[in-house]
Order: sequence, then structure tokens, then C-alpha cells
Amino acid sequence: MVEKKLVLIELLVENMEEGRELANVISEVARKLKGYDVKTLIKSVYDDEVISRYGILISPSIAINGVLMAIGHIPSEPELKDMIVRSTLRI
Amino acid sequence: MDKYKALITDLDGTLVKTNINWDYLREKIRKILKTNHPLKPLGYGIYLLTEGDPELRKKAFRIVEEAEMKAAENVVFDRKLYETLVRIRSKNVKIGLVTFQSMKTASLILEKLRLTSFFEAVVTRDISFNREEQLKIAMDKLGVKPVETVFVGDSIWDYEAGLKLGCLTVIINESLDNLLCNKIRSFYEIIKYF
Repeated sequence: MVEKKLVLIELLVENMEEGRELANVISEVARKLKGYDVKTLIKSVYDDEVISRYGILISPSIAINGVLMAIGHIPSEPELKDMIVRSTLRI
Repeated sequence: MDKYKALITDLDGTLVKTNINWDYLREKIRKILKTNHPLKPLGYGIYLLTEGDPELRKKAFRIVEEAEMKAAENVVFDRKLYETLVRIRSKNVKIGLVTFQSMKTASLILEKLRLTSFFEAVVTRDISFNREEQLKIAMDKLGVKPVETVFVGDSIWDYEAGLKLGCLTVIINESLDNLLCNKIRSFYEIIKYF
């Protein structure tokens, strides 16, 4: 059995409702992607841990496997797919 | 203007200025390698001259890394630089780094600058000593073509590599004034290309 690639997506938002909407979009994209184990976490942009790790952000922002992939906008579905795939590519 | 989808930058002399005395370091390495080779660029020079002598290579790079780490410790957070990269990233531009420094040093510098999470691709000398190859690897990881990429560096090798691959090459180096290429005086100005 081929092991799925783990992808941790952090949704950095101002309020939880915005986060849940974004999480639904991500889940839909993740469902269509085979071979990836996508986990999403909703975090507040005001969270101390988020600020110390990513700095002051614009909502919504998306970090995938610790890298900021989008700041201040929701990427389109093809963009999200591309981000997820690229985040697991090894140099 | 959304022609450019990626920004790839060099580290020392471009994104940040460390206080490494490269000429002194070169002289030190020349003595170890018993050579009068110019060692420009330093990493590639060591790589060429120590072929077949892994112990000597290790020794030379250990000295380089010690100097790099010492300099990296002194790097401080630059708010303007941070904001410049936030603005660029907000425009959906992918960001990569190519450097002749080691992964250990590059990681420390990015951490000090609080920029680690901005870089999708970090290609160091641990991966390749060749700037052109480093750029190709970074573009591959970012999923962009050379024509979609702005490459910013500070040396003649940066200029040649970027030009050869077909990236929009921007140079920050007042002593390279005779080069017919895009020039900026500080990294903060790079925002105008996006």
C-alpha cells in the first residue's frame, strides 16, 4: 500500500466562521486529490503562536506544512491543488 | 502587472548584509588548500580544488561555515524587509531562495529575519554549487518558468545565471554599474516588479 503524503494546512483567520467556510473549500479540494492525507487546522490571526511564527497577518491566510502559501486571499481550486502538491515536493 | 509569478533571491548581499570579511576568509582557505586560486565564488572554488580529498573539503567548509554562523548570529529582524515580503506574498507571488551558504546558516538567517515561512524553496550549497542549477531547482519546486521569474542577486554570477536561463534578473550592487541589466539600490525596491 502506498503511504499517503501528510499535508498540514493552517487556516489563519479573524473569526471561526470564516475559518469553517475556508475549511469546507479545502476539504472539497482535498477529497479530489488522491495520495494526500490533508489535515486542516483553524487558527486565529491574533493567536500568539501564529503571530510569533508567521508575524502579523492579513486574514484569511493559508500556511501549508509551515510555509505561507497565501496571504489575504482565498486561492482558487486549481491554485489550492497546486499548493498542496508543491508543498510535498522534495528539492 | 501579474506577469511575474515568482521571486527568487540570493541571500548574502541581497536579502541581508552580513559582516563576513570574504577576502580574509578566502585568504585563510587559500592557505589551507595551499593554492593561489581566486576562490570566486568561494564555495565553488573549494569544491573544485578539493575534488578527490573529502577530508580537506570538509575542513575548508567547516571554516567557512564557522564564519557564516558567527555572522548569522548578528542578523537582526528588519521590519521593512518583512513588510516587503508580506506585500509580495499577498500578490500570490511564490518566493524562493538560492544561496552559496549552507542550509544550517541560511536557516538561521531566515529565522533571525522571521522569514522562514515565506520561502517555499531554499536551495543551498548542500544541494548545488552552481547558481544556474540552483535557480533551475528552485523554479522547478515553485512550479514556474524562467520568464515568470524575477531573480535578484548581487554578483556577476547571479547576473550571468539569471540571464542565461531567461529570468528577469535584477542586480543590487553599485560596483556592477556597467552591467546592462535591471538594477535596484536596496531589496525593498523589488516590490515594483510585482
